[in-house]
Amino acid sequence: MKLKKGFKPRTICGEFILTPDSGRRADFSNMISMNPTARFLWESLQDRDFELDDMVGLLLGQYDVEDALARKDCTALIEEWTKAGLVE
Amino acid sequence: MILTVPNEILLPQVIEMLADGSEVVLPVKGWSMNPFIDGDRDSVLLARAEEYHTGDVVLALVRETGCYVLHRIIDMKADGSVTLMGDGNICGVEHCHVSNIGGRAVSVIKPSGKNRSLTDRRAMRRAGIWKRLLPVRRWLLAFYRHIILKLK
Repeated sequence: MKLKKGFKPRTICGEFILTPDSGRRADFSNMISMNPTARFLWESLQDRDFELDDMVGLLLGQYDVEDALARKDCTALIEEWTKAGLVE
Repeated sequence: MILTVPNEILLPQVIEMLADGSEVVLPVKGWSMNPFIDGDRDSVLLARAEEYHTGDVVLALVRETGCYVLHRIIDMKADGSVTLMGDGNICGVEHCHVSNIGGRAVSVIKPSGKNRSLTDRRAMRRAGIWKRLLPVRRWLLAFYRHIILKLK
């Protein structure tokens, strides 16, 4: 899978959010909020194909977390990102 | 994962973006622009305009409350003072200066994704008719909110 283009990162209210932007149009009707871990993964996975194992590898390399928990969190995140239209 | 940002934080940023020439799609809350805009369902496409006129739906900082509203201009004076009123209100107006207007709602985006212009001749004619119906607006709005909105 791959992260879709066309989402612009912003910091609003101290939160890292993505808004679907096209050209000079910003869409605040579908804001997607990310915690620091999701942000790290979203930024690390730009412009590349990836699978669940790649995400888990990134998490294990960055955080002190057990493999099983990282896998569970990444599976849930992929599901959320798919639902939000962030991945293709 | 979906974030709700308080108006007082989001709207100043929206107004800054409009001033820079960007267009902004903003979800609308509340029912004060019924029947043209349905809060919590519709979004509006906002853009900066060179000039604002009576009949325009605008995002403005209101003098009395210091809050932002998306309401229709019902009167403008030569000195730049503007009177606003929500289409879904039966009384009560707000005031601001034209310099406190951040942008104009160009169209309504329905949940289906359809765009409905708020600025073409047809939209302005409908808004004009609605303005003249102010004496009976109370009953029309009740019908709209209790019957039509429930069927939507």
